[in-house]
Amino acid sequence: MVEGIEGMKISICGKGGSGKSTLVTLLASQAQARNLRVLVVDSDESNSGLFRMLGFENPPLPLMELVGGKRKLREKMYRSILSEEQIFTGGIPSQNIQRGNGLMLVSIGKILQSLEGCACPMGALSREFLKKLRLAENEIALIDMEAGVEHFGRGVDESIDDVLLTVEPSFESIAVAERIKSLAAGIKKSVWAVLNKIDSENMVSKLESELTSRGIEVIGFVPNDGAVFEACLEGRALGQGKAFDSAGKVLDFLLSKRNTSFA
Amino acid sequence: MCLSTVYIDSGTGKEEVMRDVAEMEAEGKGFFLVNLFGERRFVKGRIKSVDFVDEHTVVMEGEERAQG
Repeated sequence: MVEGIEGMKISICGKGGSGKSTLVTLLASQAQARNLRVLVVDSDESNSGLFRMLGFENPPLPLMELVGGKRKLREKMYRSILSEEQIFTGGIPSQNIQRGNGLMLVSIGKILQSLEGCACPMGALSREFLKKLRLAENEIALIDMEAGVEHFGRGVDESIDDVLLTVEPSFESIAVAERIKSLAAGIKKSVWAVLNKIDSENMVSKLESELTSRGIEVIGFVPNDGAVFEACLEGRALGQGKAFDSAGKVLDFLLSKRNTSFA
Repeated sequence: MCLSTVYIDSGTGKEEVMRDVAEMEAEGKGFFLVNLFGERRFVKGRIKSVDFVDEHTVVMEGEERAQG
């Protein structure tokens, strides 16, 4: 049971394949277990399976459709909730949000066609949506970012509270983490790392040493979990297990940073 | 960011007119601007410069801004 959580927006960033969507899903499940209302924002314009991982049968209609959709952007641009000064979760049109058991999912948009052009409009939409999003008490938003660092160039992270990094055991993942740490510092955001795909304590020590030397604090790790692997392979909801348990400690850390009280 | 920010330069410095501009359409002595979120505005003047690569800006020089 958690009391008096002030709404917060956490972006989950990292190298492609490092486990952003997995961590988002695990954190969302842990937040649900604490009776928090969770808005997951799918801001990854490439991967499309997040709704399955979260246990929804269908994805929500992308928010891009509220501005006419990317392909029709030049033909018609609509005024919608995205034109408003503030956006509340209750005000998002039903076709654009999936809801269930305190869990909500919105999707910014996906690149679906060859020669469709760049994803810049989606970046602008993510930035504006997150800027205008107003969370109620006991609501948190988890933003599943696109892989890499371009979202920083687009200003998507300007209005989030904290940045959570997923780091897998690879040099490239550490390098991306270091870059994100630097970019986030430029906009005065706190950054914490969560290790993923962990097999041993030795692996934790090595990664922690590498990240600490780069000024990045590690707040938890997600062990290799066969149940998560199988669920991801089969495109179904992640269940509970050791990965789920480990995400609980990460969420506790984030909530404690918001000066919350636990009962 | 491919969407542009449009500025107007009236000789005393640049003033931002609209962000996230997705469309500009010439009309008479100016341009209609439409942004990603459906806001529409008319600006009198002519285009002075366009930066397609770094800042994605359009600078217009000319007359006082007007809303349409």
